[in-house]
Amino acid sequence: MKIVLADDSLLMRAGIREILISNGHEVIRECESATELILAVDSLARDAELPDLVLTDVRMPPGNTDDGLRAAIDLRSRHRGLPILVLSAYVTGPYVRELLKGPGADGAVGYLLKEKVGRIADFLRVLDTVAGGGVVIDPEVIKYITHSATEDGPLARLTPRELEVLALMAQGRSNAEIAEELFLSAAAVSKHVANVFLKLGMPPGQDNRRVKAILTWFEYN
Amino acid sequence: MPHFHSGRRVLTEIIAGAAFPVLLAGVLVLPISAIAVAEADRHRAQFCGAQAMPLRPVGQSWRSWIRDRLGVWALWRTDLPIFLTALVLCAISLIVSFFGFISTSVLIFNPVLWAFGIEAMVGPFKPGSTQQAWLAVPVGLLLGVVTVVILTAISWLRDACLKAFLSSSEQDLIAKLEKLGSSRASLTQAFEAERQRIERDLHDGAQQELMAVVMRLGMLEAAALAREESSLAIQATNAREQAEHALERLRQTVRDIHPRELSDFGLKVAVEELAARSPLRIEFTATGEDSLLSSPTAAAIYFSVSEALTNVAKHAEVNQARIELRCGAVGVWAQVRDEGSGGVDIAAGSGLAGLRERMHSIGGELEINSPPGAGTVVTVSAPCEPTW
Repeated sequence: MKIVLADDSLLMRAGIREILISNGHEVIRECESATELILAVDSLARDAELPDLVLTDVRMPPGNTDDGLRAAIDLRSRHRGLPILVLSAYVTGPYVRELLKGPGADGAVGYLLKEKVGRIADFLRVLDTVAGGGVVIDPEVIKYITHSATEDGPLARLTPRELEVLALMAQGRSNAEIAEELFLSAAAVSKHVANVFLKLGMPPGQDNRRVKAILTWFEYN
Repeated sequence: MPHFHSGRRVLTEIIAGAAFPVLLAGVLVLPISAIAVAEADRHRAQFCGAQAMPLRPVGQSWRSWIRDRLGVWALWRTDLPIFLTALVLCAISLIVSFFGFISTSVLIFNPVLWAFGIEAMVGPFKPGSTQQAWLAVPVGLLLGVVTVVILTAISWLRDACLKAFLSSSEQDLIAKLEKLGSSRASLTQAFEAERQRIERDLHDGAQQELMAVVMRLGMLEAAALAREESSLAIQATNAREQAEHALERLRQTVRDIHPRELSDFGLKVAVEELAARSPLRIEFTATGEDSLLSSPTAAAIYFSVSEALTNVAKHAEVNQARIELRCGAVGVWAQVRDEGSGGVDIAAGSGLAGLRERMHSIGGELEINSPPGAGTVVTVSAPCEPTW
C-alpha cells in the first residue's frame, strides 16, 4: 500500500521505511514535522492521490509536544476515513482518547508503541487492519487502561469473559486469533462477540459494529 | 509593587496607643517587658509588611524564650531602645488617635448633633447655624485623613527605629534569609527544568536508539525465518524481547522523572490518568482551572498524589480510594483519602517524607492524618507560584 511516514528521527524513519519497503509497501512521502505532514497529505489530496495509510509519530516539531497527534486529528477531520496509525513512545491514555474522540473516529485509526514495529509480522497485520477500517490499540496501553473501574455505563453489563474478548478486539485481533489466545472454540468466540454487540445495543446488520464496540469500550474505560 | 498596608498600620497604631498604660506599667518589670515589647514590635512590623522577623523560634514557649533572651547582650543593645521608643511613640499614638478620631467624628456628625440642638465644639470651632454645622463635615473628613496619615507615619517611624536598633548580626541574618529564600526558589525552578531536560534527552536519545535496535532485531528475525534458520531466529527473537524489556524499564523511569501528560495536558488530566492506572477503584473529582499552576507546583502535587495512591495500594488493605483536586487562581489543593488500616507514619521511611520536603520547597504543605484503624487522609496544598 501507499504510505506517508512522519517522524522527526532519521533513525526511526530509516528503520520503518526499510521494514515497509522490504514487505512490499511504498513510502510515497517522508515528513520530519507535523506541519510537513499536513502539507504533504493536503497536496496529495489535491492530486486525488490520498495515501492508503498515514504513519505518524506523536512528539514532533514544531512544538515538540503532541504535534503529531494534533496533525492526525486535523487530517482526519478534513479527509474523512483516512487511515492513520499513530506510532508513539508513550503509554498514555489521554493521547489515545484524543485520537479516538477525534472528529472522524469511525474506525481506521491505531495507536501503537513504536518498538512494536520490531514484531514485523504483527506490525504488518496492524497496518492491514487500520488501512481496512479497523481500530487497533497497543496491548500495553490496554493493559493499564483496563485497571480502571467499570462500575456504571454499558460495560457493566458485560461478563468478565466478554470484557476480555472485547479487549482483544481492541488490539485488532480477529475472532480466530481471539479463539487461539483464550483457548476457546471459534463458535464460543462468535457467541461472546455477538453478546458484546447485543449488550452494547448494536443490532445485527449495523455498520462497523466491531469498531463501534471498541470505541464504546474506550470511552467507558 | 510595594504594599503600604495603611489599614494594618492604622489598626496597629490604635492598638499601640491603647496599650500605652500597659507599657508604662511594664517599666516596673524591666527588662522582661522590654523583651516582650520588642518581640511584639517585630511581629507588628512583619504584619505591616516590613522586612522584620520575630526572633522567638517557632515551637519554643514565650516563657523559656524570654529566659534565654535575658542572658543575651542584644537585650540591652536592641530590645531596651525599642522598648523606650515604643513607650514614647505609643503615647503619641494614643493622643493622636484619641483626639484625632474623636474630633473627626464630632465634626462629621455635627449637622446631626445640631439637629438635636447640641452645639458640639471642637477646638476653636463652635457651630452658630445649620450652614456652619454642615461646613464642619468636610473639615472632619480632612481631619480624619490627616489623622490616618500621622498614624501611618508613626508606624513607619517604628519600622525605622526597629531597623536602626537591630544588631549587625541580626541584619546579616535577615539579609542571609532573603538570599536563601531566593536561591531556594531558583533551585526549585532549576530542578524542575532539569527533570524535563532529562526526560527529553532520554526520549530523544536512549529511547530512540533502543527502538531502532528493536526494529533491526525484528528485521534480523524476519530474515532468519525466511531462510528457515530457526536457531538464529530464536536468538533474534530473544534479543528483540530483551531489548523491548529494556525499553519498558526505561519508559517507566522516564515517567517517574516527569510524566508526559503533565506537560501536554496539565495537572487534572495527569491525575485522572494516575487514577486510571491505579489498581485501586478511584473516585476522582476535580474543580477549577489548572493552567495557572507553575510547572514545579504541578509536578510536586502530581508526585504527592501518586505516592499517596501507591501507599494506599501497598499498605491500607483496601481496594478503593478517593482523590479530590481543587485548582484556583491563588493555589491548588489535593486530597487522597482511604478507609483503610491507617497508622501511616511519615517518619517511617515512606516516600511521603521526601515529598513533604518537595512541597515545602515550593511554599506548599503536605499533611497526613492517619489514626490507626481509621483510614488515611493525605492533603497537599500550595500557591500557584512559589511565594518567594
